[in-house]
Amino acid sequence: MTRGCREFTEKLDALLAGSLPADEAERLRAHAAGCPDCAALLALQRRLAGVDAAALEAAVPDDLLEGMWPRVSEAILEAGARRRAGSRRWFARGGPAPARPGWLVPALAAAAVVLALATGFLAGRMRSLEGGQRLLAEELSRQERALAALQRPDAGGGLAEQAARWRSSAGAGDALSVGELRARLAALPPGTVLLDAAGAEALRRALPAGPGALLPAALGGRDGGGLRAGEALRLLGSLDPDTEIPPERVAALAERLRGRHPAGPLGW
Amino acid sequence: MQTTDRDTHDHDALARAFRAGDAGAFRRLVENLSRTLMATAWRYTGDWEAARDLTQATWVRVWERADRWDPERPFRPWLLAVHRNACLSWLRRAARRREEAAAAPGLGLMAPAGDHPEAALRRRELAAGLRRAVRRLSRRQLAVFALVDLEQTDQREAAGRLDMAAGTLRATLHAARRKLAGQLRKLEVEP
Repeated sequence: MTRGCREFTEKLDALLAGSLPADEAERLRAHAAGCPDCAALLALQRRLAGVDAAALEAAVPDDLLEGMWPRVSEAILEAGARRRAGSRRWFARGGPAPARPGWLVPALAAAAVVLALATGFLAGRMRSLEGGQRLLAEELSRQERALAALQRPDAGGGLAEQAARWRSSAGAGDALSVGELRARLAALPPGTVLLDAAGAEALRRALPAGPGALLPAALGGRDGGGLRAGEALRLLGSLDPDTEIPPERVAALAERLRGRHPAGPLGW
Repeated sequence: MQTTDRDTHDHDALARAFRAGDAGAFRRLVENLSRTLMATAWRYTGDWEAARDLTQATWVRVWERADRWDPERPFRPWLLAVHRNACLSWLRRAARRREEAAAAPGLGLMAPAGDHPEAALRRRELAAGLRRAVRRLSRRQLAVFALVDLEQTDQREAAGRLDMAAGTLRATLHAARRKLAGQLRKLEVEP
């Protein structure tokens, strides 16, 4: 590329906009006349800039626009049905899911969260109390939206499917890393209740000052209370994902939760 | 079409209602904004049915990922960014499908109505050539080219949307244009 080509490239927009002095514009056109590369560049830009936005919007065919909502709503329902069918095929390939009580998996999650919090993993790792409270407030707002999303037509059975998938891949005796736990929590709708209000209050009392002080912001001021999957995910956010939660502690706490909440978190 | 402050406010209010679970608000967003999305997609595809399919796919994506929109920010630019990603993916896929390039309408290069048959043929040839040529662009070059030259977005605004310094955007754009023009010459396609 010559110096002339470089100058042409740099001034092309101004040339097309007609904002160059006449002699300079003439000089650039003369360059293009003798330079096939720059001539192609100029012609292409003229073509691309020749589509007027208002004219283009006016030219959108009305029949395609009128059919948009029926197509979109149908596609959303189909996407939901495909996800559900995909989930069923997944189970068919893997054989029957192990027979475990329906409440067990969320209980395991609750157990792991409680362990992670109560053993002080979080203490000193939250950047600041204020920052943590802001995150929790955001998370609460996100949960409200997620719960609303569950009411949408394509979401029927979503929660049950996630729980079933989880059930098939985790046993009571498994160790969990914080990273795995986060992945599993992320697979649940954020509004899934892991601990009811009483359980969350007990947790708050048991916690060290740092993370414990954050819980009231997460748990107070709304109907139903409790600790939900989204909140737990947020609380675990600052932990090293490789941190292992020992299997015996997971199992022990799951046992305790079983005694306290025989109906399981999904029915609390 | 000009977007007024009131339109923006309405879109934001509808988007917030949608996120709170109001499917009726989502429907009104689809009805109010599909024309803009269709016109944008046509710039990439040059074909109204492909533009409709891309627009539909964008709305499904918006439905599924509404939680990624920050309600503190205006909804329309977020929607257009989601749509642009869908259009760019389409363009990349279309660029790889060499065998279809000659038959498919390709990039939107001219006003869609009133083409003279000869002009329409040249447009199709050029569009097919461009679709092959964009394969040579890096992802960043393609994003800049699409935003500035296909969508005719102001360069300063484009730099903001792509989070690039103005000088970097300009240099990237110039390199992309040069590469495309060079490729078209190689393919013996006249713009």
